[in-house]
Amino acid sequence: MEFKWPPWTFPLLIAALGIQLIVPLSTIWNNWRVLAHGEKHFLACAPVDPTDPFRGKYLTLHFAIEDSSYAALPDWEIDQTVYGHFIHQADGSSIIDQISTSIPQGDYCKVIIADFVQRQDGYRVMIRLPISRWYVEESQAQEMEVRYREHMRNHRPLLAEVHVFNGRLVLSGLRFL
Amino acid sequence: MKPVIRALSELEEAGIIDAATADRIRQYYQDKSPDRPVPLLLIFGVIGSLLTGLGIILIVAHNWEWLSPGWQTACALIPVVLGQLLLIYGVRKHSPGSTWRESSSTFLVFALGAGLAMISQIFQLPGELPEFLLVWILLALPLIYLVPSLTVFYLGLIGITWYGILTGYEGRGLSNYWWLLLLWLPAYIWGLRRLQTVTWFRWSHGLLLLSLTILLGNLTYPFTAGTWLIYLFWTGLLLHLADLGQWSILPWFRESFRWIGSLGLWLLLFIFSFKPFWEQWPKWHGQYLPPVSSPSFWFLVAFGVLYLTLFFRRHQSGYIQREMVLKWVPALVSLCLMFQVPALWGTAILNALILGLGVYSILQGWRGNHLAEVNRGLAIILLLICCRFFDTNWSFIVRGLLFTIMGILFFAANYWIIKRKKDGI
Repeated sequence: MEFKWPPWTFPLLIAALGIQLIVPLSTIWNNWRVLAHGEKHFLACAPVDPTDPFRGKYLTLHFAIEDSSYAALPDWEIDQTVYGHFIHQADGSSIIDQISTSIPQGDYCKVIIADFVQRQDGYRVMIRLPISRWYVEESQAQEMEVRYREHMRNHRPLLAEVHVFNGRLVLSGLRFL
Repeated sequence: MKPVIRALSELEEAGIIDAATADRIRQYYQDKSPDRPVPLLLIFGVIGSLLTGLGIILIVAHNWEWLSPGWQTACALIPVVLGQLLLIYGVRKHSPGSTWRESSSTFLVFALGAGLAMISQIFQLPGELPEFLLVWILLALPLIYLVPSLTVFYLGLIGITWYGILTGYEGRGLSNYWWLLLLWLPAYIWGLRRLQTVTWFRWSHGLLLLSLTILLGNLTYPFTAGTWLIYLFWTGLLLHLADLGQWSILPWFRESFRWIGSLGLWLLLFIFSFKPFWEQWPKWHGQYLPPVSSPSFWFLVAFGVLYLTLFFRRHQSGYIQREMVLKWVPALVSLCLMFQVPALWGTAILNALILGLGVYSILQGWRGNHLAEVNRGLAIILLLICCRFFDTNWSFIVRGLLFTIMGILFFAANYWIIKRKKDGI
């Protein structure tokens, strides 16, 4: 299987290899920026535990705000991306108090419309946050699960620590209260 | 090696042909053989890289919490950089198609996947498996063209198909699979022109057909009962394409069409042999035919028309009775489906058809002394019996008897054919 290959493909190959490095590095950079400059919020949540073939064990997170509904406009659609506005609450946790199609003042992030219902008092939507996984080391997954079960049995809240910056949301920790 | 060549030395010793003739015959077959086999070193190089790559992914599946994020990132990117350096060296020093280029690019592909997975794990990045696959595929695909690498070409197709399976049946219309396939296709077309003689390239045709057959369902969105008809016509189409005129020059082209076509058709036949299928038909997915405005409808029409046209074309090359029979099957079955025959009738016709095809295969094999053909027929009947165990209430005595009879038949048929071959009848 011997054949010639034009030499001008070599610079392109180098460029392609460069992109292979730039893509992960730029994600890391973006991530780091959010952690460094972002506002800290705590979201109430409830995890479960499946396995991803590539990325090890993780807890699937489900946030309490994903169970509440928000006022919506009739032309919004399921799977559409909108902006959610964060506010701090008195107990230290945060919630999204309203969603909109335009960028709101203060801390906000992109959320996805998961469900759309029409009620007597107008249109309502349920939202889904773009983050849903917390990766844990395999050896710690068991411990985490036990701890979580104990925690829930005592009806104590579990909070996810997130950083919010320029519409980006980065998960930075779990907090058992 | 051809049996003729193996027999040469024996003939030479027996004094039937002289050494010069034997050499001439050897030379003749050597020149004639269009196959250029894959060098062993290449195979081992690629397998080695595959294993190393997979090993890295497995190690990564545990995440190392005892390292700081900085070190973790370094661990994720070191294999990628290493793979890139090896690849650059391979491309500078070795020719296209060499072991160096192939194995270093294979290693890089896996290192890249592991690296991406690890980074998204370290930094808790959002995203599901399909999105991850998409990034991986897009970053690795250029290697097919720029290295160029045949292994990445195959890995790419497998990855694209995997992505398609994950996204194609969510019921959200056209999958990105088709766009990814468009990025892959130029390499395939180039290969068809230039790599015909490379044994390793030949598998790509069958794989492409398999991939297309798996993802064909995605085009038939919204799913209706018509999806089954589209698949039925598609398999018929493949069987016809197997001996369409000039393609018969490339035997492996023919083989791929025939393999994938008959594989799909048999799968459909066995699905159709279950009674619940006919009871649900034609209410599958709520409606019988896709709406006229949907692409699904036009695929149905196009495949149906093409399938029928190929029947009536003038120069049917390679007329083989067995193939002709199989080609008629989709037409017959689709007629039953379209006329919406009662469930009992449909099941009976399909079971009789499968049984008939099995018996036919046995008889053909018997007549031509083809052991494989006889066994294929027996296997079909056996599979049919196994399927009927699920939806009939035959007593265990009947089931036991059926299996015993089949076992005896397998034994007797093979024994007789081997005996007949020995006796030279």
